[in-house]
Amino acid sequence: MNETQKLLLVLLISIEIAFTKSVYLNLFLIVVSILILIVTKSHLKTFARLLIVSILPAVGSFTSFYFFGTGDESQRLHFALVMTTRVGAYVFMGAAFMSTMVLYELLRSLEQNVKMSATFVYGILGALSFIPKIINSVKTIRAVGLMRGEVLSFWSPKLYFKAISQALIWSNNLAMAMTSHGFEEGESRSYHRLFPTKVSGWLIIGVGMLLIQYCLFVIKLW
Amino acid sequence: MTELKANHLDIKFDDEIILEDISLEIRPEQFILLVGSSGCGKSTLMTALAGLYPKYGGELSQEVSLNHQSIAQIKANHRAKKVAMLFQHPDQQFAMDRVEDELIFSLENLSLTTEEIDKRINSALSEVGIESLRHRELSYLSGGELQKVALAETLAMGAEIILLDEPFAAVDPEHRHELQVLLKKLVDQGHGILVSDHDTSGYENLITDLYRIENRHIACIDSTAWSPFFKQDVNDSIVTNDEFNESVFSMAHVTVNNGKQSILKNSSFEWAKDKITLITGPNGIGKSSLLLTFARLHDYEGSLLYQRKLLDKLRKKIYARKVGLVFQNAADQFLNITVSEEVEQARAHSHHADYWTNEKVDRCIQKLNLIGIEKHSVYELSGGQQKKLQILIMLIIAPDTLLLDEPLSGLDTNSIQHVMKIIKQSSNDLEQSIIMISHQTHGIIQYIDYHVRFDQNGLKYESVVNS
Repeated sequence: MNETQKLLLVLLISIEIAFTKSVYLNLFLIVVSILILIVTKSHLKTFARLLIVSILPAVGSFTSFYFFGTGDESQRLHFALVMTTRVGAYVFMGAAFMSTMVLYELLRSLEQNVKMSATFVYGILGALSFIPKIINSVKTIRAVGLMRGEVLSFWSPKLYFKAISQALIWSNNLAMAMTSHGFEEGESRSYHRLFPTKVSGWLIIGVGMLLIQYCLFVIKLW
Repeated sequence: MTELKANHLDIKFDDEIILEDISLEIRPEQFILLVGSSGCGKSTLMTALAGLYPKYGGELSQEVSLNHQSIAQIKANHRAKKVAMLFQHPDQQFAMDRVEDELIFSLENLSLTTEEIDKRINSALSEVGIESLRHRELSYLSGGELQKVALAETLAMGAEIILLDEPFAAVDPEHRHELQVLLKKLVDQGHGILVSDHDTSGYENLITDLYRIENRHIACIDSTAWSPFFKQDVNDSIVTNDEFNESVFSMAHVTVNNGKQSILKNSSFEWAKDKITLITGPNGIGKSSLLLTFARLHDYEGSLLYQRKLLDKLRKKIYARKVGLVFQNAADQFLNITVSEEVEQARAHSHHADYWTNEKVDRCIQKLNLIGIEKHSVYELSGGQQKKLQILIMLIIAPDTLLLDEPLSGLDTNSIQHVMKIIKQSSNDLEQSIIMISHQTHGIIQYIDYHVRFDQNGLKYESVVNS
């Protein structure tokens, strides 16, 4: 399955479960996502982090819909469970997507398959490669501060002012370098590696979506 | 025939004239060396010639022309096949995070096929001799290695005219010579090359033209008048490395890694106190990581002592005031905006404010040719000016131990002499220990007490300094 197709499938399912109310379907999606995470050898830590992230919104939506929702008790219980499992489904589907995806490939495949602008693709890649640089630079600035007799705490405006001015200079230099390396907005580029959409991917999307419709509208899963 | 031409060109920045009446032509088979003191406008001229102004700042009185067409009007992907530029800051010229991806990026811009891209990457990497870096991450490469990657990228794009802005500032002497010869080969193959460099060694028999920028004007130097530009002292390459009793740093079984690369393994070594020690060695061996380790900005294993105390037992805040580091990238050292604010800050926090009096600071500013830029932003300064200001600031702070990572890169011969004199004097007067990394060793040996060679076999005192 190609990265664009993976993203498409996750988006389609997300939209669908946002408007439908099936606890079992949500649970099913969570189980499938966990299986994917296990197959891709995710660490136990990842699972722990995902659980911690989803606990607060899950508990929050359960209590608010169960205790303060409308309808009789069984309706409220159903709706509260739908909302709770929906949170879990979103979190785990997102994680399963992230664990199988390579960002470079996703962006390049979006560039090739849905004609996303190259400026956008390289803008995001550039911004992401800036993150470790900026973290490093904040460390360096604090070290320099200490050497020069100034303690720059985490909330010191000087620290961030300096980090931001440095980032501005980098981005200007980077833009210059990209131009010098032949990058021109709106011009056509070739692709060294193709990321074509695959028939198997379309099949998975088709079968998956049909299965979901079947669960929701034919057997009307609880 | 490709021809890059500036005709009576003036270049302004913020209404200030940087260069005046510049006329220069670059054609295939020309190898032009551009010299001039730090801050004279070499980088500005090259950026203008590369067609990056006025898009990225800078006002031009005339168009720079490429084959009689305004270069700024040519689309970047067409321009890159004709003219390419290698920038001064090696770490700020890559869009991607891995060597191969970066080369692919630039070749895709030229709309080449996959086979052609692979072919060009292979030949460019082998031409520069860096096949081993192909799958490496750029953030783990040294300054010198990055410049080689940038050169390979330029070669892969096949630009006929290559502009190189101080490309060898962080390259070790051996590779510098190799790359100079490579440039000459490219010239013979039909490329036109303009290179700016403060260190003129090795160029004399390679170049076809010599230009100098002075007082905002450019002048072509006739080949009969070249010899004063290439004069080098060669008699000063022996360091005595006397026995010493007191160590500033003592390493016992120290291991240092940089990412997956091993830098030092189980190394034991003593570093002389209150003396000036020079470290030389090939690119990417881990010299910067070693200094960062001393400054406690890099992890290590084993026992490392600073003046007989275990490094990790000392409080970070106090240690940072005792051991200062002059970073390889000068802009890292600044905390304020203007030059005078930086100097003021340093004076206010100096350990030896009585030694670094206003008069002494002014004298140094004068010697280092940093006058008249007090109100300028530190980020507007040229690479060389930033370097000199950075060193001055850390000397004014005057910690007991000062580590300097390539303090002389991008400095002209005059500035190097003044910088070394000021360092030597301050080290003598204030009993400071100085450890510095430098590829540039011409004319500095007289100031050095110890020379440490750092190569594949680790650290070793060596009396001969190869330059």
